[in-house]
Amino acid sequence: MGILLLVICAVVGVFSPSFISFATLFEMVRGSLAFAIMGLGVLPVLIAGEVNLSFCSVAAFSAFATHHLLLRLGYQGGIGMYLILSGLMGSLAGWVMGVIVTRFKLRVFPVSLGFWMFWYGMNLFVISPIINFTLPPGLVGYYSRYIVTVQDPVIGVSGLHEAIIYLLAMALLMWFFLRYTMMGRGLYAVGGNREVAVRIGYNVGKILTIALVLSGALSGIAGVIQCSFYRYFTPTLFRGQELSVLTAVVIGGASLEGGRGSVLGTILGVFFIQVVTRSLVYLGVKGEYQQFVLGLMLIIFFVASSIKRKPRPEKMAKLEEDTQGGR
Amino acid sequence: METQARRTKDKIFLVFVMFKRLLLTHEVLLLTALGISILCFGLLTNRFLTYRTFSVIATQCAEIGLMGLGMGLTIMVGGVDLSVNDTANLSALVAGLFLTRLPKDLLSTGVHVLISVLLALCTGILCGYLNGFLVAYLQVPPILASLGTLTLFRGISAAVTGGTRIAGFPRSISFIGRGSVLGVPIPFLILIGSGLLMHLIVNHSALGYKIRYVGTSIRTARLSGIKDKSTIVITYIISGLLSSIAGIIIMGRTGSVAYEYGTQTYVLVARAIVSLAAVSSGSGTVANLVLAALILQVLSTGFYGTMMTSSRASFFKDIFWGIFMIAILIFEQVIKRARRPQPKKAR
Amino acid sequence: MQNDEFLKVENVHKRFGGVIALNGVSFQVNKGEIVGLVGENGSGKSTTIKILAGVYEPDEGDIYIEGRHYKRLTPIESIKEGIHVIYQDFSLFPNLTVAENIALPVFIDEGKKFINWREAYRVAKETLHRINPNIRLNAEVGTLSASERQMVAIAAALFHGARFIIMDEPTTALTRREVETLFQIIRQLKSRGVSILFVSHKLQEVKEIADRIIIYRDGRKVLDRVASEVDIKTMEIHMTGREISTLERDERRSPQQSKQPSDEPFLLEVRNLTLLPHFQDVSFGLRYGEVLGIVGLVGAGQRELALSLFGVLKPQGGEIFVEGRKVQISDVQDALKVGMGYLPEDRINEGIFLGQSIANNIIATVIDRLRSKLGFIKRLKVEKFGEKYVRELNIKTPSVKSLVETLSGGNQQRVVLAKWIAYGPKILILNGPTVGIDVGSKAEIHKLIRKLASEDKLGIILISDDIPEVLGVCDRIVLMKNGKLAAEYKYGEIDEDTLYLKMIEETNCGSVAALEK
Repeated sequence: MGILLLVICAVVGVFSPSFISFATLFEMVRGSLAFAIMGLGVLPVLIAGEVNLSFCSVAAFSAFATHHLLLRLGYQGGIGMYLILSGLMGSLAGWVMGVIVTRFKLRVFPVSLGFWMFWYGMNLFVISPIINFTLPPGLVGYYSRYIVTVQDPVIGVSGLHEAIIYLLAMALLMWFFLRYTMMGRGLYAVGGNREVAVRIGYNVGKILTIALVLSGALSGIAGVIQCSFYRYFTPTLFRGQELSVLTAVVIGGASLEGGRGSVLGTILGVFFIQVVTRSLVYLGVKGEYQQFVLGLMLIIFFVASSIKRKPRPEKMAKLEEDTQGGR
Repeated sequence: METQARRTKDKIFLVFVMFKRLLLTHEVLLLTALGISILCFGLLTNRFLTYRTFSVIATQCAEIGLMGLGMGLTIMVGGVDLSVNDTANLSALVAGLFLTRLPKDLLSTGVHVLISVLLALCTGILCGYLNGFLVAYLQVPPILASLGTLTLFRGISAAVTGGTRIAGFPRSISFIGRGSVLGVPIPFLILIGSGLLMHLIVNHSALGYKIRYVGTSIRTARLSGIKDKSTIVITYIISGLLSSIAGIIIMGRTGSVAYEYGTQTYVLVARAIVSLAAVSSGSGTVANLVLAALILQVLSTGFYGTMMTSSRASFFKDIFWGIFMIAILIFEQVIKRARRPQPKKAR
Repeated sequence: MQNDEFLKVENVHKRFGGVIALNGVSFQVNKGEIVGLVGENGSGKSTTIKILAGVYEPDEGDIYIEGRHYKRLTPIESIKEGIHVIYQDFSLFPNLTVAENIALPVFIDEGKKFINWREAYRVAKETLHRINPNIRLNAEVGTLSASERQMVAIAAALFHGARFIIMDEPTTALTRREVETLFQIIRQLKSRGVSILFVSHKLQEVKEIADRIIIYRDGRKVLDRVASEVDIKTMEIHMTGREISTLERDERRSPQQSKQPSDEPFLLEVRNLTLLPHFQDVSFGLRYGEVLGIVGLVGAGQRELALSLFGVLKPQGGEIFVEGRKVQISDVQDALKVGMGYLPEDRINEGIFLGQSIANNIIATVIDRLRSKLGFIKRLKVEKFGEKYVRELNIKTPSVKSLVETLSGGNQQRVVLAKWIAYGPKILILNGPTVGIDVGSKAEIHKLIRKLASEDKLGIILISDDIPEVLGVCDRIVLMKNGKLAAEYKYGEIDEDTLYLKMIEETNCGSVAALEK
């Protein structure tokens, strides 16, 4: 995966030398930060064998609601309070979904389709349909708070944004959770074989709910970080980005059938998508074509991974995998 | 004596069970729901029970109904087609490009429009074929396959139009979207026509049987000599075709084509129709799908009507669809439990 | 027996609605004893397992574990008392490592919140080493073979402090050699004082491994004796309640004497069919009206052979002739075109359409023929068609509109047969046609097979693990061993015990897989 990334960078670099520079790297890091955090939230749900599409709208709602609430309260401080509040709102949204899913024994996917609409609707209808440019004093200038600053002939002043610390911290926590806690292993167990997980004493509903809460919390945090980069808060944040995040996580090695996926893979996957879309810009592909390329990439990737899955003619009594993919 | 009493008791119980089954027939349930919702809105606002409202409902329910039909069929065969809306947009776009880019005086308007409609239908077929090919032959899970094609179709539309909308079509196209015959809107007639045809296919043709066989158990179907792969492909093609018809209607009604029209909402609504109609892999009826589309449109239009006072009314739709989708899923689950005859314990 | 008892079950009753699953069963298992539990499907074996595992609560009766009395066991109590069930699917996570599969259940029981991987590996290694040191601890379980997975499951049970292991049909997925390994492990466990309940329907294997044999029939214990005192025939009689095989044989032979199938020309000829690593150079012929049995141990290649004939698997080489003409069978449609039908072993997932009506199930193979001139299919016609076969095959149902899952296993299988008879094949391949079917239906299906052969002149290939069935029904039996045809016997040429011995006898030629290298 990492090698693939380097190869792509090298190829693009050959065609467009200005691509290879610290400034480009930092810009790409900054561009993928929020998506990587959201991807980390998507990961546990995928590992448990479910597909959640509502994370973008949860991010939009948590960030937007937090912003309006804090503005109304006359909050003056920095990003800290934003992160906490938005994270809490996100986890609450995740919890609600978790309760519905486990109580009525539903699949996450269709329910999340409903919430996908619902949270955007809440933003637009209940809060405000207008982009909000007012920032509390603590947040003004946050978008350029760099750890390292570089001067680039093409991009100008750029740097490694301090929010990368949040990503690293969250990645570390998630890694620890997935690898060293019984709950984390429970996610893999549930994704691997749900029935057996129940048999050995895992509470599948609880595990699923925790995964959804985590997903919500990380989405909320990602939403705030992205808005602080934009320097405005929008009710339709991330709208239409669901698939590219999902793809990134899947490219990073998570399986949509559950049971597989890693933190490092997820971050690399997000970065991969970022590199590819940036490269398109550097190679002079127009913005309108990006979605087309993304769709093409998605299909090629899905096809490749399902062909890779195929070779198991050992027990042909089983024939091939059913076409039932869950709905 | 005792056995006599017991037998009577059993009989009463049997009658009760049959009655319960009949009451819970899905058609009956849906019709009741439709009646109740019309009644409620009628009492709520006096603007509701008018010809205009019903003509709006009938017109708009055709679009979602056709997409719902397409998605319903693919779910019946054991898959799902999430790309219905983008198939519709892409098809309409192809037709729209043909109509606007070709010099007008080259062909007579009738032929011109006819060809554009045929082109749209062909696009739908191609889109469906791509989905079916990915699912049946390349074994991509249906959710993923159609998520991928959804992005691809939207990407093609965006790339071709450069993100702008196309407008300025001949009048005959808008007749498809806005016209009416004997007071019945054309889109509704198209929906009913397609519904009847689909009903014949699903319930009374070999293809319909095969669709249900494959949806029930693809392995048994294959080992019974049913061409499972081509059945799946054909089903997706039908879904694409229905979506492209919806696309033409949308184009006719709105008078323009845009790559982002509808987007998530329509996919969601189509999925909600399928849930409401209780269509699942291997079973389901077309009548239920059409009824479900009608109910959803009544609710949507009704709410829209009652909320007209607010400037943000159109955004309320998002909330409504979201809640409605979840409510339907829960409802479906509850009904399923009620219907299930007493759970037999496995020995 | 002077051994002290571990488990004693007394007068246990269990009923589900109107069905009596267990009717006053009592038995005991001593420490370090291997008890074989056999019985037909539905005789109460799995109910017993589930009561011991704490899944079901008995209606009546007592359970004593080392003298401690229980009215019922909860799953937790069961595990605390050291009772462990290894289910057919082994209860493992394919995506996790061996070490984790062994350690995780214990950690959950101990109420741990975090995982110390070093400790997990250490304990897993200790336990697994006692069983099979060759399995890598960090291998993903999904990549292991069936027998290796079983060993992991056993290790997990042992690590969990198992003192009494219940194995539910443990040899189903194993080859003969793997069964040997399993038996070694079981004996090793026995020597350490672990008790085993070996639940199986394979009488020969039970006799081989068990110290004592318990036989169930219709929810009752009908035999409980030291294994060395029981022979297979006795076991079978107790299991089924009657001596079917001989009875049936006499009955079926009489009308058929007139014309032997060996006078008929060949219907199907197979020459040098090869699909490595499953089978190699298989050649045989099948005559009109002949029932040809193919037997062999699990993994000998007979199943893959059947699937190759029916176009599901693609053979690498060889030729197939039907009625003297060479045919190319590359998918199921081709097989149907040359007149083949196939009854799969997995009835539920591959034989019937659950959730569809009986009529819809029967017409699945002929759906294209039922079209009217306009291309429509009339429901009435479908039902009439279904009714015809329901009558012909004596399927017991109130209506062809009933769902197929309302039928008993035997009747479901008749629906599958009806589906093929309706198609009108020349060759019918039956893969385990009576698996999981009660004795009565079994005999009727056997009669039906004979009738199809002698009256309708179908060529039938019967693949089965049920040796009495093969001996009773087939005109000719070929024995497959390590992917090759090893021997051929005519009807009456060989008896059950000899055939079984021939099956397990080591061959000199080695396996196909070895030859490949």
